[in-house]
Amino acid sequence: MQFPELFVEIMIMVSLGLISVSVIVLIVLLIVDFVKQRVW
Amino acid sequence: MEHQSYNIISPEHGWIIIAGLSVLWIGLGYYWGRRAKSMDGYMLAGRRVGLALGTATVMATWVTSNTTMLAPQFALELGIWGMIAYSTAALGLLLFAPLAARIRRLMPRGYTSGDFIRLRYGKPAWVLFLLISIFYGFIWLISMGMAGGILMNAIAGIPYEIGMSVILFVCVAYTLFGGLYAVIGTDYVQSVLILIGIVIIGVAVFQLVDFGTVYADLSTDKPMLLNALLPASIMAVFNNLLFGVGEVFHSNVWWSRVFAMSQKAGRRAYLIGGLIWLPVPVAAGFIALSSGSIGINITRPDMVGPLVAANVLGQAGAIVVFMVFFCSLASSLDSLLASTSDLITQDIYKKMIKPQASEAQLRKASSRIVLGLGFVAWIVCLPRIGTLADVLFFAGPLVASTIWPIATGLFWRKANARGAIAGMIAGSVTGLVFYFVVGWYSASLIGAATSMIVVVLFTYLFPGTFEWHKLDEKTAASNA
Repeated sequence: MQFPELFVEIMIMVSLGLISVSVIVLIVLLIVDFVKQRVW
Repeated sequence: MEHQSYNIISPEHGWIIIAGLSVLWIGLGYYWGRRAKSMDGYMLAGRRVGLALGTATVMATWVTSNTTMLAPQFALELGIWGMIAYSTAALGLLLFAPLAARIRRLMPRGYTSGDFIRLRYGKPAWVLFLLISIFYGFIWLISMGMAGGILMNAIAGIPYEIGMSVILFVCVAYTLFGGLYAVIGTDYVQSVLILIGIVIIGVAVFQLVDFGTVYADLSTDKPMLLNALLPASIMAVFNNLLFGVGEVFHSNVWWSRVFAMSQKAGRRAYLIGGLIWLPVPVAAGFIALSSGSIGINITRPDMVGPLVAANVLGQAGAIVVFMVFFCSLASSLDSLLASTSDLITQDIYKKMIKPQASEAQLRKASSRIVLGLGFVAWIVCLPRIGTLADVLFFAGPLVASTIWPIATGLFWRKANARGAIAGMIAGSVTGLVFYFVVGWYSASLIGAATSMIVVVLFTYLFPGTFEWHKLDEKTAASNA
């Protein structure tokens, strides 16, 4: 039994999407920490 | 082993990137390192690291050169299950999140994972644990140093000895200047660069190479890679998962970050860091699956990522890959230098050799140990004996055998020293037997399972009555 093409394609697209969102999350977290003065 | 240079980018471009990033890391390391005025500052970045830096350092440290080199290799050799297997290593970070909260609460002034084992289980278990942990940390350090030299040679044609020496020197320099402040600060920049690089390459390959063609080619030429019921691959999923959990649970790399983060940040940082890391092996791995459709002849599977990126995106793609590799290596090397140095300084120098050492003496010892580790790693890496992937997998059952002594020791009052010692020994031995007799993909699984059975059995046979307050060493000492 093979993994269906659609499943693999969606898995890759979701992974790339999640990584893109992660960059934004990291930047937003830093801004929030900076504003609240709790970076370090 | 084949020592082939692909010269995907020119040595001039390679040197420009290395010089630029090296100056950046040393400069930032020096800048942030000025905060490290006390031992808590140098070793644990002041113990108040926030969520953003905490999340980034967890994620960046877990993205090693292995992730960016081995995930494509897993995809090439084990197919879709290979990518999923590598992603399961994220569970190590996710499962460590609740432990992080508990560790920080029980040991508000702790320094190392060794502190926990010593206070929870006593000296014999502590010595055994240190042997496993320092062996593993050092092997990981060496493998990163070698990977650095091999990558720079393969991608940019920079001589192995020079590339390896430069990356080790840069990481030692900024870790030496700024301790964990420098490590965590640079990890943030490195994690953002790594993620952006992976997205650029992944999206470009996905856009430029028709996925329908890739799937059809795989179905025809390598149907095994799409097989959903491949036994060795499914076993690799569990093996990788347990190896990952063992690596995170025992290693001082992760414990020192718990002690460095604020009480609120630790648990959330491990959860978010794990979620951010989870898709990285899939994104890095799928690039490998398209290599056949592009018509690339893969002679070294670990080079498939840079080769595909250069083929699809030209020099620009190769430069992005080179930067991702350099950041991945630096973010892991610096963490290993700092945390292994902490373990040796605190658990060996302070606890075994010089208990009365002043803060200044400890700081001096810690700096010397960072330098010494860098030097010994450099000497071992110099002959280019190849990658240490096999040795890392060999260490898998050893670290997997520490999972249950740590997890039960943190939550189960009845867990005891005899169970911890027997669990680590029995898990390591049976795991190594399976490593040689069956294969690397079963070793961690068997090691962790055996350790679990032994630890639980001993806990029921010889139940302990541990008092949690003993883990807060200074409070326990002042009450005594």
